[in-house]
Amino acid sequence: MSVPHRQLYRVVFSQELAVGAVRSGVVAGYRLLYHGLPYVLTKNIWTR
Amino acid sequence: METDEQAVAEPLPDRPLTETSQSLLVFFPGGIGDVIALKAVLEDLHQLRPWLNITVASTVADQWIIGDVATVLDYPVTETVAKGFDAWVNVAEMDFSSVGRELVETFAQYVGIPCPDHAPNIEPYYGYIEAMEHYIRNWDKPRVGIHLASASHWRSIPNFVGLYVAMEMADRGYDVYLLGGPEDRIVFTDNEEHSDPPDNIYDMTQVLGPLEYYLGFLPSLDVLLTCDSGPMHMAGAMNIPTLALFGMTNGEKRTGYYPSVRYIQSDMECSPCERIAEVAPCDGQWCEALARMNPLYIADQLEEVYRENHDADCLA
Repeated sequence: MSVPHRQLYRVVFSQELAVGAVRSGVVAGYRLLYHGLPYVLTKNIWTR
Repeated sequence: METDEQAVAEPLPDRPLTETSQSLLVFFPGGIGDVIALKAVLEDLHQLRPWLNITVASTVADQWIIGDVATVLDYPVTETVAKGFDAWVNVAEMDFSSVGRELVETFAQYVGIPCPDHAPNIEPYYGYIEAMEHYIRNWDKPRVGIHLASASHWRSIPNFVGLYVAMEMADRGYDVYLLGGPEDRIVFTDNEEHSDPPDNIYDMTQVLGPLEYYLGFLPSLDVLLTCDSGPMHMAGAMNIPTLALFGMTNGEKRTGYYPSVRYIQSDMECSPCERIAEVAPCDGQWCEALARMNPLYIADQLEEVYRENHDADCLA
C-alpha cells in the first residue's frame, strides 16, 4: 500500500511562541508553545 | 501568530501507513468542514482496520465531531508524543478548503482506502441536546437560527443583511435565535443606549461558545440561516434544514453532499470569485455579493425551507 505523503518537520523554538487556535468562530483562543521542546509541524509556520 | 526566526527546523523521515501499522497519527489542522469530511473517511478506515489506533492532531474540541472513531489532540504535538505512533499521515498541507466531495476523495486517498459512499454524520450527545433545550423560549413557535459570522470574514453575512432578515422573520411569527460564540455578539442600541434585541430575537452567543453546546443547540431549531461556515457543515451533517448564503465561494460545490442544505448564490457577476486565500477586492468591509442580497428574498427562501420540512399551520 502506498499513500501520498507531505513533509513533516521537527521544530525547536528559541522562545515561547503564541499560536492561535486552529480555528476561530465557534471556538477561539490561543496557547503558548514551549521553547526548547521539539514539536512536529506540518509546514514552516515558525517563520511565517 | 508570532514568528521565531531563530527556530531550528529539520525535515523528519517518513513514517508511512502500512498493512502492519498498529497506530496512526493524522496531522490535520483544518476547518470544521474539513474535519467533518475527514470523519467519514476515518469511520471507513476504522471499519476496514479495527485494530488500528487512530489519533488526529487538530483541535481537541473536534472530539465532539469525530466521536469515538479516533482520539483528537491539539496541534501541534511534541515529537515525543508523535513518536508514539507507528505511522504518520500529513493531510495539513493539502490545498483543501471545504470544497465538497472531492475533499473526501482526497482524504481517502491519503489513508489508502476507497472513497466513502456515505455522507458525513454528526450525532450530538443527548445530554447537551437536553440541556440546550432549556434555552428555547417558546416551543409553540417555529424557531429559526441565524449564524452570521464565518471564520473567514469575507464569507460572513453582513450584520445589516442578517438582522434585517431576523426582524422580518420575527414579524412573520418566528422566534429567532442569533448564534455564534462570544466574539460574534451584536450589541443592540436604542437612541445610543444599550438595549435588548428586538422582540422575539434572542442572543445565544454568550452561551454557545463551547462546540458541544453549539452542536447540542442545533437540533432545537427548525431551520438555520448561515453562510459558508462551520455551522453550515455541522447542520448539514446533522440533517438540519438549512439555507446558506454564498458570495465569494461556490454554493453548489460546498453544499453538494448535505441533503438538508439549500443555498442562495449571489447573482453578482463577481460571485463566486473564489479568492479564498486573499483579501477580497470589495470596497466596503463586507463581501459586496453578500451585502447586496435582498433580505426579503432571503426571508422568503428561509420560510420555504421551513415549510418544506414542517407543518406550516403552526405559523401565526
